[in-house]
Amino acid sequence: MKSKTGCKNISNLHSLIRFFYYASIVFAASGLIALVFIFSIPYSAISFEKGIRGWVYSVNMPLGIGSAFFMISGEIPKNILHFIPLDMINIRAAIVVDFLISHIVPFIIVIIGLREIGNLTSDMLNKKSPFQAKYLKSLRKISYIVLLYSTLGNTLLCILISIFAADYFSVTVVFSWIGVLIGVLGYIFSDITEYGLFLQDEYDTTL
Amino acid sequence: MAIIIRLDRILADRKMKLNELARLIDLSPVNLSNIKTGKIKAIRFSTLDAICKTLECQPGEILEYVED
Repeated sequence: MKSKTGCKNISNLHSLIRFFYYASIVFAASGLIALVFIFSIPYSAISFEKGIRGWVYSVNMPLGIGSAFFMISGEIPKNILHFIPLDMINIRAAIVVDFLISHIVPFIIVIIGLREIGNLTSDMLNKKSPFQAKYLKSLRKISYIVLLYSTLGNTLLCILISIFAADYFSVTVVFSWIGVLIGVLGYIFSDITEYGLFLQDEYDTTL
Repeated sequence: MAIIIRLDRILADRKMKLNELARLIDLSPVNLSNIKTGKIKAIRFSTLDAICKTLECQPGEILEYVED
């Protein structure tokens, strides 16, 4: 009875993760498609203004009189384009670079993570042990990617915006502490998984 | 490994097949074959107990230490 409930919980979790996985793919793909079309839409559809925390942008494709199709929105942190006057900024390039680095790349990391968790729950549903070398490797890889993105993501954004969107070079190093924490926790969890893997191997080879 | 399992010798002495011993001690032939060929890291006391009881032997007759 207890194992049946546990199996049902894992099954529900698996369905939920698969749903979020496919939804993330759809969102990431729509974002990428929107970016492709950004170069062909008129400037009037782009809103780019200085907000409190940074440059706030949104792209609304006009469909007809009084209606518009919302495409993307975001915010470039203040520390990146703070000193640059608006006429020196290539707005479209700035939006593309920021949307790619700040929204699409984290989505891709989430998609990779969800895929691995989905595979893990799928194996658990098939009564396979979750302590497998392939999951250990992927968990380590995801932890490294999250750590790298949290520490260097903002710097990369600064550099790319300087190159493609503004004739002004400024690099600011800002860490995403939550990202660093998630990366470190992921690494610690991968160490625990490695120990679990060792114990599983010992158990399997003890008769 | 320095510990060698001499199950094949005991089985030959008792004129018993591996499958028969596996059936008597309630272990799968594959697992017993792994024990016989030394493809294991450890052996449970319960397994050793069942083997010794069935083959009427001492653990020392099954396990042998050989210096590397």
